Amino acid sequence: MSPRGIYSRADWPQIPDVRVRPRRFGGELYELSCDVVVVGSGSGGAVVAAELAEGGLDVVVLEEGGYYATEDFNADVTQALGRLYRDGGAQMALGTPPVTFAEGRCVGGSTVINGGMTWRTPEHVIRRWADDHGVAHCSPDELLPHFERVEGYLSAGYQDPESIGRDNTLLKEGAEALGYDTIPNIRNQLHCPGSNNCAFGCPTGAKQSTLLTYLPRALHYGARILTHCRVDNLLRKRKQVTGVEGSLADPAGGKTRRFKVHAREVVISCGAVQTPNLLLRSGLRTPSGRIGRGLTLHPNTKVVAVFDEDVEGWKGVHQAYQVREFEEDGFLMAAVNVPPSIVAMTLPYYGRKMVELLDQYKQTVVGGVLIEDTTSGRVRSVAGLPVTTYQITAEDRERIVRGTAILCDVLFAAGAKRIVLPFEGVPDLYSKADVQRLRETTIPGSAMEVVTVHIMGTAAMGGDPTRHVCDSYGRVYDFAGLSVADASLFPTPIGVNPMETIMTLATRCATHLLDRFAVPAGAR
Amino acid sequence: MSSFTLPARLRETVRVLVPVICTAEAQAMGIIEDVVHGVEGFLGTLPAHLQTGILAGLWTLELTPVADPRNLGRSFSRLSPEKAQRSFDLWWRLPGPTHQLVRALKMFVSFAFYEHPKVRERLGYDPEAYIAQMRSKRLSEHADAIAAHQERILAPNPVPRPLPVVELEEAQS
Repeated sequence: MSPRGIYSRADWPQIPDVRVRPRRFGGELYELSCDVVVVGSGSGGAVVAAELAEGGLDVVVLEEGGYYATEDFNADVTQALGRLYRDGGAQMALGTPPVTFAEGRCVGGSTVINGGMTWRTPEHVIRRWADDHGVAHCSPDELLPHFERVEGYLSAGYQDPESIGRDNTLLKEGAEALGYDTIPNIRNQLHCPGSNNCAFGCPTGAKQSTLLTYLPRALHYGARILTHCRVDNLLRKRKQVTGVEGSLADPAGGKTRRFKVHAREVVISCGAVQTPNLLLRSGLRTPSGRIGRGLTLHPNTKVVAVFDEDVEGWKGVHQAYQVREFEEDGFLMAAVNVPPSIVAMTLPYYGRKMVELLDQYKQTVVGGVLIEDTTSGRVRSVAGLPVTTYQITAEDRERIVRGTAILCDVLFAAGAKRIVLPFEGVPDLYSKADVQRLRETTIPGSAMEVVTVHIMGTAAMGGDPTRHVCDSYGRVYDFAGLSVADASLFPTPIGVNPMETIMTLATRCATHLLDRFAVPAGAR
Repeated sequence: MSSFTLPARLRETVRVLVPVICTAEAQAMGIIEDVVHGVEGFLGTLPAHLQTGILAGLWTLELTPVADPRNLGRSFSRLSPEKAQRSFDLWWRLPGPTHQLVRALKMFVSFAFYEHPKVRERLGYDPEAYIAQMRSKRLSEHADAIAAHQERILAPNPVPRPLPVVELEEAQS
């Protein structure tokens, strides 16, 4: 049973104010009007929806995925991939190596499936955005109230100590033995007991995704959330965007259903792949010609370390710590336990060797390295589908190898006996001497297993319409009635988990829209 | 869940592939059919164009051994376990897109194998019991804090709007 205000495909006729019209070639067209239609219900869309709804505007949120609540979440990975992820989590940026990436597609978007890290935008990044990209009102002091507001709703804070599992303490011990700076993660959680199921929906209700925070708030102030709505195009009259149109998905088949939502403002929050795809698919061209360009994605790699002791990495929180010693070099590390099925998928071998390693699953620690990338890729729209290309540079490949080698040092310092690398054809490591050999090995890009969950920068904001797609508050240059509020806006990668930055920018976007609509502060 | 099903012939291909990728233990545990079903479940989560690509790859894997005279005209699903192993090993060593394809097949099969409850049990991996225990612990120990936070989420709290409209319009222009 969905909460009041969330409507699935079958509920459309009951939505207040909806008009049903027959279509010429069969089926029905649903039409709806509102002040603001928000496309996407993740970290950008949910925040905009809640702030605008509280501000007194009539808000409709369109979500392509379905609604699932805390009690629907469990450790069934296949089910989670089908319900919560776009394309089963198997999207890919083409290049050498291809980069596999995942996005949420459900009410709550990627906040339902992310690791729950809640970091403010680093100050040097904020300054770079202001100085190099002309982003207005963008200084640490000016963003502070927005950060604090977001953190309040997300209950951002450190983990309760008893929730930290052995995999994380091993990583910390190893890093500290080598004198590396390690910090506790700030996470959007409320007394998280550490069930390490963040990526498949938090089954304890501790992770404060938008599903539990901003979306209930949006509903409380009158917003409506419509699920299974795939937006195909923006409606516009020349340069004035007037709404969106799309189709209602029905996994069980059935009559064609099309919808149109007319609005004074359209806010696109579909993530940095789907947002540019929708803009391009709708035929938009901005003065900069940069829609879809500037894609950055924080490439990351994982190693599997085997210890003598039972670690049971699923008992304890996901990423309790981050090794920040090498932040200025552009990479950070964490323990990122994943289920055996995911470990098996990513291993560079199969058969007896794979099974023998997985037999030691209880003794493994999965460690990850996240790289702040120095290059950018592109999202194109081909036959309405996004095609993502991204070519890792030699410099970033070198950083991946260097970061991986340092992570291996840390894990050996913690007592690891064997480490499986994300580099195909490179033998497993059994000692620190092997790590040294790894450093001296040239590893081709094609041998690297690279993944990401941080997609950014394909509709960048900034002060120059000839360089940026959106202005400092997310309004798309050259078009009226259209804003973007998601990671597409980032003019550069940020080097840390992006959720709080997205939410902060979305809060700014909402503030700006309330001012434009001249809604008096505290209207409700 | 998705109702995606492989064509009957390709189900045979995957049946033969399971012990190659996950060893004969899959057979000994009597779960090959479940793993094939799990592969179908995973493929069902993928978009149509990827499904098509995977099916094309499976057909290629299935039919290519016919051309090898040592296989006496048998396709992959008709090969003995040893020959199926050899055939897959050969494919694994090929470079480029072929390797990527074989790697993808290995990913789907190994994923489905390790999602199987019997395999999870054998590894001592029982997250559901742990989750249930943690869920009830959290609710019983922190009920007040949870209720207070839920209240806070719904409480009126207009977003701060420090920027006057005129200033914003100037920033726009």
